Amino acid sequence: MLNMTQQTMIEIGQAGAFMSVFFASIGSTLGTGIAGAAAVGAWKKCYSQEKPAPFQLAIFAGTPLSQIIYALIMMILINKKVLEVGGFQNWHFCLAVGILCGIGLGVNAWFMGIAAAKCCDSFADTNKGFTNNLMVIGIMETVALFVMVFAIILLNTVKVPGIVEAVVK
Amino acid sequence: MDQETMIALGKSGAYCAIALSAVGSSIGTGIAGTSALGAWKKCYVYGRPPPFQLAVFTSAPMSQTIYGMILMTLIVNKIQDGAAAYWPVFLAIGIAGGIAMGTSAWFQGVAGAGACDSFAETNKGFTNNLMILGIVETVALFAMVFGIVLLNSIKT
Repeated sequence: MLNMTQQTMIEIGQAGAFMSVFFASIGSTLGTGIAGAAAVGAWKKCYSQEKPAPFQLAIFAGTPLSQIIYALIMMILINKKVLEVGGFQNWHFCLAVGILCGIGLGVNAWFMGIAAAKCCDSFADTNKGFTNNLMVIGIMETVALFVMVFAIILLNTVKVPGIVEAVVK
Repeated sequence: MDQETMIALGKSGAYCAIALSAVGSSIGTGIAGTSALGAWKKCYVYGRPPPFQLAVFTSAPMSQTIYGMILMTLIVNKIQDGAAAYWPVFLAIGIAGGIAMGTSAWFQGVAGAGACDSFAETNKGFTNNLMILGIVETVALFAMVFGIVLLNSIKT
């Protein structure tokens, strides 16, 4: 590991950047899959009982998508950190932030999908409480926002080693 | 590491993108397909016309394999442009992107199975069901596009 070249360190750091998108997309898939299946089932119940099918279920099913956008933001920032002058020396950190942030966002999307599935069932049955349900989803979304923002704060504390800066100047 | 080994590893990563998304597409179409067959069987048993649209729900998880192919082509182009030394990035994007798209196809199949069951029974809500499949599809699109964004940051 000590014999690693500069290029290898950049590459591993960039791979870490993509890990955030990878883990977040797995979670979003699980979330949208679970919520989507619930929405389809709830619509089926509506059609069987000759009730109008509420369009709002599509909104619930689509909520776990936002975590991938947060992951994209993280990917861009980590990639920028790796590619800046001397940034390759922080490859361990970039890899760790990419993986952990991705897992945080992914698990959030997954459980948001479970909550959204319940929202679909509830709203299709009662046709009431759309904003209340969305509020709960919003609370869960806040966790994902926290994961991203706190990772960005930590990322901004990482500085290029002074000696490298001096050489560049 | 010599140049040939780096090219080989980079290209292996490129193929992982299509292979892993194809695995997910197989699982997804398999799940949705068996559901469509069961739903059609119910229609025949009850003497109702079997809706052709179930084939659309069943084939939805196939698109991820195409996204895998696009990612594979772009990675191979990068390698041919002389960026073979970046093979760990290509391997990571290929494997991680492939798994992400494959999982999307898998769960799209699960939602598609529900859509088949629902549409065969009620004959209503085709566009609503398709919209849900579109939402799950978006995850795969995101995984592909963001992989391309990272690929484009690699300068040869």
